[in-house]
Amino acid sequence: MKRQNWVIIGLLVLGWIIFLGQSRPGGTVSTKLRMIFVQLSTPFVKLGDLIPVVRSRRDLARQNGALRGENDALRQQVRSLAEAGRRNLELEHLLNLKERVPLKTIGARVIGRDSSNWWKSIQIDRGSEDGIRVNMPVVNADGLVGKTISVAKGEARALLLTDPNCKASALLQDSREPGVVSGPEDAFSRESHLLMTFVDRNARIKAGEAVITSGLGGIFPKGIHIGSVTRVRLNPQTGMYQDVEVKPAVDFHKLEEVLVIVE
Amino acid sequence: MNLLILTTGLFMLSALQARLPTMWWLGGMRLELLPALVAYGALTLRRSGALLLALCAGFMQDSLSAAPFGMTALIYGIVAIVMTGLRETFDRELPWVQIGAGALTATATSAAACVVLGFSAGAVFKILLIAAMSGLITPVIFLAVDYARILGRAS
Repeated sequence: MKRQNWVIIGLLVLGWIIFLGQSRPGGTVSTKLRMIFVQLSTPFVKLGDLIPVVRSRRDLARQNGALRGENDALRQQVRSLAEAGRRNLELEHLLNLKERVPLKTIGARVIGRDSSNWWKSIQIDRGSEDGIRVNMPVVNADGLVGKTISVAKGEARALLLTDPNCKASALLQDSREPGVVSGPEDAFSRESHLLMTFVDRNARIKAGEAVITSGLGGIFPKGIHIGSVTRVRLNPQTGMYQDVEVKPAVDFHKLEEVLVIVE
Repeated sequence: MNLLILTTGLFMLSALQARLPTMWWLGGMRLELLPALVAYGALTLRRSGALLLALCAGFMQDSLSAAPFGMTALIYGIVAIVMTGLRETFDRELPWVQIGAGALTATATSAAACVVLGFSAGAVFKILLIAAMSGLITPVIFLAVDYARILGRAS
């Protein structure tokens, strides 16, 4: 390769290092440049909504049947939960517990996925003017989805819980053992699963036990469903903790609507 | 006209890359289309044009991802410079050259991602898979953009 090419590559790398050096959080060159590219690309990403989703009638009929069944089961569950809720209120009054403030949420539509194969995030159609800020929890009806990592006007990006960089302080619901849940480190896995680490090595954990957020860490409120335990093993590197494999409650491949917890 | 076609292509491909459903049977893998466009630019345009296209494609990909902003732009930029320097050695019309160029671009960005996230056996397999998929789609992108440019010249 010519010497001139190496000079250009050197300049490019030098420029990049200076560029990264400027990228402190809030109002920096890279943040502003990112916003420009996001604003340019978002209308094209939203165009994807115009592409009709073709599904066969048989698939729709099967899905309809399954949803009706699920609806019946959920009605039953709502009836029993209403009763349990009433009883819970009575007990809270008896114990003189402070009333829990309901979470304020904003509904958002998923308009895009991460364009890279190496990070796991989604783009949603609500942004800064809707009151969304960085590090707000994102949930759906099934449980915890992730947290917001960047916000612009009219759009925001949420890092999914399946990404190894998204960590949530968690609790095993029955055994009350704490730990940290995040995406698995292995770059390629066919099954979507989560990993709960730093769980006491002596804790007795059952398969199927529910995993919820613990409320520690200041981002995720307590009690959001994360998933259920599928496998438990001693950490092979340290042997000091147990690693718990968690099947997520959320189907991350089929996210369409989410809720951002703003308060 | 060329600028308009390439700009439209850039926006359409980046939006498609973010909107196309993932292949759940391949561990949720996503087809990467932008490496093919970068390879097209590097084997077709002048160096300044190829570099500009590569940087814009990189920034576009990073803006639609949780990746560190600017990382892909740097890699695409380096690949564009290297490829424009080597292109006289190869015939861009040959499909295997196009496949190789697309696969090389995708491999470079994947390797950079692994530097940030960490290498593993699974990561190497994933890099190979991404390179193969991007390489195979590259001749299609070459054909589509060439055809659009011919149509643009004719009108």
